[in-house]
Amino acid sequence: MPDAPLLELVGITRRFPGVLANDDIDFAITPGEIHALLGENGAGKSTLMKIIAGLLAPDEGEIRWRGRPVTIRSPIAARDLGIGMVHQHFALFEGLSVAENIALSLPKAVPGTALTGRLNAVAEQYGLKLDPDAHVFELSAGEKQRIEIVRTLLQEPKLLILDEPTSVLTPGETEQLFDTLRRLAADDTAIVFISHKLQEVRLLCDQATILRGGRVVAECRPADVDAEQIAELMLGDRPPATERQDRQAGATILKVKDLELARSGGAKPLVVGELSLRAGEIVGVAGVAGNGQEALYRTLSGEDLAARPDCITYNDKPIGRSGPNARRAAGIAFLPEERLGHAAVPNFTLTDNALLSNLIDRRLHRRGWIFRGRLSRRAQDISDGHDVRHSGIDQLASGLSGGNLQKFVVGRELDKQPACLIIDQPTWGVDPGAATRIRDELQRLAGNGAAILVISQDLDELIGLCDQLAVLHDGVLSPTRPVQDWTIHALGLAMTGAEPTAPAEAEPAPMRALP
Amino acid sequence: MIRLVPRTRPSLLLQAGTSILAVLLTLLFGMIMFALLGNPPFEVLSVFLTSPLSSLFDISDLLVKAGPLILIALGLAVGYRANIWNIGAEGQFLLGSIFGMGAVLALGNPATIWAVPIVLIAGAVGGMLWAAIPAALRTAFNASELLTSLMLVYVAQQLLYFMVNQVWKNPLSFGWPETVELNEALQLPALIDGTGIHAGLIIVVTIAAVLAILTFRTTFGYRMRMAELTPKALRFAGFGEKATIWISLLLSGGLAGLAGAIELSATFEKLNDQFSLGYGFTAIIVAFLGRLNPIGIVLGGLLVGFTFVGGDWIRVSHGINDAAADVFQASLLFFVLACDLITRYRVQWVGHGHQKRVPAE
Repeated sequence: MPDAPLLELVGITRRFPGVLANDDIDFAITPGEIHALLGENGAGKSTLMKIIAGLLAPDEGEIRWRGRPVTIRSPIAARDLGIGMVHQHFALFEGLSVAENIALSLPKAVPGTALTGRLNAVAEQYGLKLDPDAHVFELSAGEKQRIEIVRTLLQEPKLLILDEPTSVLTPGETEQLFDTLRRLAADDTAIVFISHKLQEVRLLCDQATILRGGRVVAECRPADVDAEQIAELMLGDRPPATERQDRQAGATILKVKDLELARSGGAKPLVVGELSLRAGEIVGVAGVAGNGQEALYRTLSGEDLAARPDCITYNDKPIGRSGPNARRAAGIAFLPEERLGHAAVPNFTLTDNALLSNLIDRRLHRRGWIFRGRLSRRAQDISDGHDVRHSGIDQLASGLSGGNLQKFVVGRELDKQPACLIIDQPTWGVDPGAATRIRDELQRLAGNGAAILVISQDLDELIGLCDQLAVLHDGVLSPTRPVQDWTIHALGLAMTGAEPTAPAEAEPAPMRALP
Repeated sequence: MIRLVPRTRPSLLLQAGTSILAVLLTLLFGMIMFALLGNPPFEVLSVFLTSPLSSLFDISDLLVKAGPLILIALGLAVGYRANIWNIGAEGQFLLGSIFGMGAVLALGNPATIWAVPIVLIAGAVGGMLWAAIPAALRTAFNASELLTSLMLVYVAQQLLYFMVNQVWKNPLSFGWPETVELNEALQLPALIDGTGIHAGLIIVVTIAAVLAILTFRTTFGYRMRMAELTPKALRFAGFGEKATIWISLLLSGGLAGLAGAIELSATFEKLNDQFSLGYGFTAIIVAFLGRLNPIGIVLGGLLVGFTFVGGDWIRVSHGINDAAADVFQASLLFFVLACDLITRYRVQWVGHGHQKRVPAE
């Protein structure tokens, strides 16, 4: 590279309890460069960007800004240096106008007319059309994102970080965003582009750094490398599953057929052609977050109802339009991804949370009168049986660590000994010890003849756990295939929606793979 | 720098403690305000604090004012716990009194005490119907119940004026906008002779006890406690969100309407255009002062009743104007909500330059 780096990270390491989120990471970006940061969920992208944006301090390593070592103590310090970040989730006041939202984010008060002038100047320069007087609630996701970008640009950043910016955009809006980013780069702004979507990265980015398990595994020029190779680097070499126990699959218990469910936020609907869960078998659903996992979970749990009862059958009985408790009564248990606020009420004690999915259990209440003593005993039994560490069952759910709360809510469902279990991200954000324990418990349940569906973003987990695998991409669930029939290749392509590159340009450029 | 760390365990002691702190801060604020208005702060405060308990008459006044506040706040708290913001209890209270009066007139103002339950039930039904409008608008069109319930207060006031000026105006009232008086048999009897302490207060205490039990010992209470921004958990447990909206609005509307009918029967004994003292709005303060807990609300209602009586006294004794007395009362809500922060978070002082640590996702 001819230019000297604008920002350089050397040996950045950051630990969290039980996790090495960033392990000795080197990274550099020059002015005018659009640099992709690629990796699976949990690869360490967010942690690294939070360190650059002043939200986290590194445990080890050095940050250099224009060659000079710096310490970024806060988001304000990052902004003063010239680092701006556009987050994945918008922080806007829905009831205020565009101009008011932007004025609120500026460090000093600016008179309305001057602000409008600056706004229009930035908007014109970079093709960011915005009506300053429009109210935020009437805008599309793409327009809201433009507000976030404009207010970051008003601080004249030298480095702009965009976290999954296209996840909420329509294809047309994505085109517009790319046009803006190219103009910014032409003006010597350095851009870090975090994404899962390989096609976009290949279109837009000059350079890419691929993270896996907190380490840099490769750097490349994405335009020169085919998508399959990148996908493989992101996912890594998976050892053949060894921990999986031998099981005998039995009769089909739960069957989904021709199901279609609308999703919010302009996403494509969830489409499931056919999905069968058989007794004694674990079926896995792989996919990148936001591709319809929650919709799939909700339609199977009855929190969202299918269009017709016979879209979902359980032991040949149609249940597509039955609510959660009717399905529980039939013997299905389910557990959503979000621990706090969905699987458990944050400001309830563990005792109260033990009742949450047990409201059909006549041992715990009769005609609405709750037997507090029995409920406490249930909470205690769940804790004792599943190694939940807490300072008493009167502790609030929000006070437990992620791993302990997950063991509690998983235990709550397992103790019902369900004939069928639907579980979404069973070990997401959980420490390795708790994760192993939860996986073992799922194996045991399947071994006892239960049908299990595991939705997960963790491929290692799915490969280790499942007998059958399907992939969810852009709302569409692929047919299931035995896990040994999937290659990492095929999985990576299905998960990222990448098309194989055309043979004409299939001369893969040399890739600098790191040990 | 200050850092807020969420508490992991609820502490009743702390909740009570912060309520007391809020009261102390309110008193301090009041003293400063009275001093700035040119009144001797300690003297005003001493009248404010001692006179509400200085005589049986004052105590009775306190209880009579606390009664409707507690009853309305009990209902509101159920909804607030579930994030349903009915702030139109004032309108539901007025509808309760109008329906109560309607029942009295429909029965021909009979001289029998057995008509009293009918009058009270009519009041509760009136409040429920008024609260059903925001519930229907919310569930059908997702219209904010906060706005609709508030706007219906003004409609209810106009309805009251219409009834007492036109439809039910007493021809013998010398032109005053008021109805005929209730037959003496329909007036809730005094519990202690010579005071205003009436049988309606027994209803209030009973309902508080029932709601306390319902809240903590039944699946109904469980559902309503499963509040504050956890609609997903509600669905997970198999409860419908719409049903929760209906239940909390009908319950709070019904109790506000009941309070209106009790006021009609026990205190006013007729309907006029001055019927409410703003109980429906003040009850919002009481609900929060009592931490949305039925027992806390009884205590909170007594405290606010106390400030009502004390406020009346300083108006008379030192000529404090109405606006200042109202600001003083309103400052109580402000401090209660501010102190609420301490019950939910631990406040930590962090030295400058200390790096904020955000857990990894």
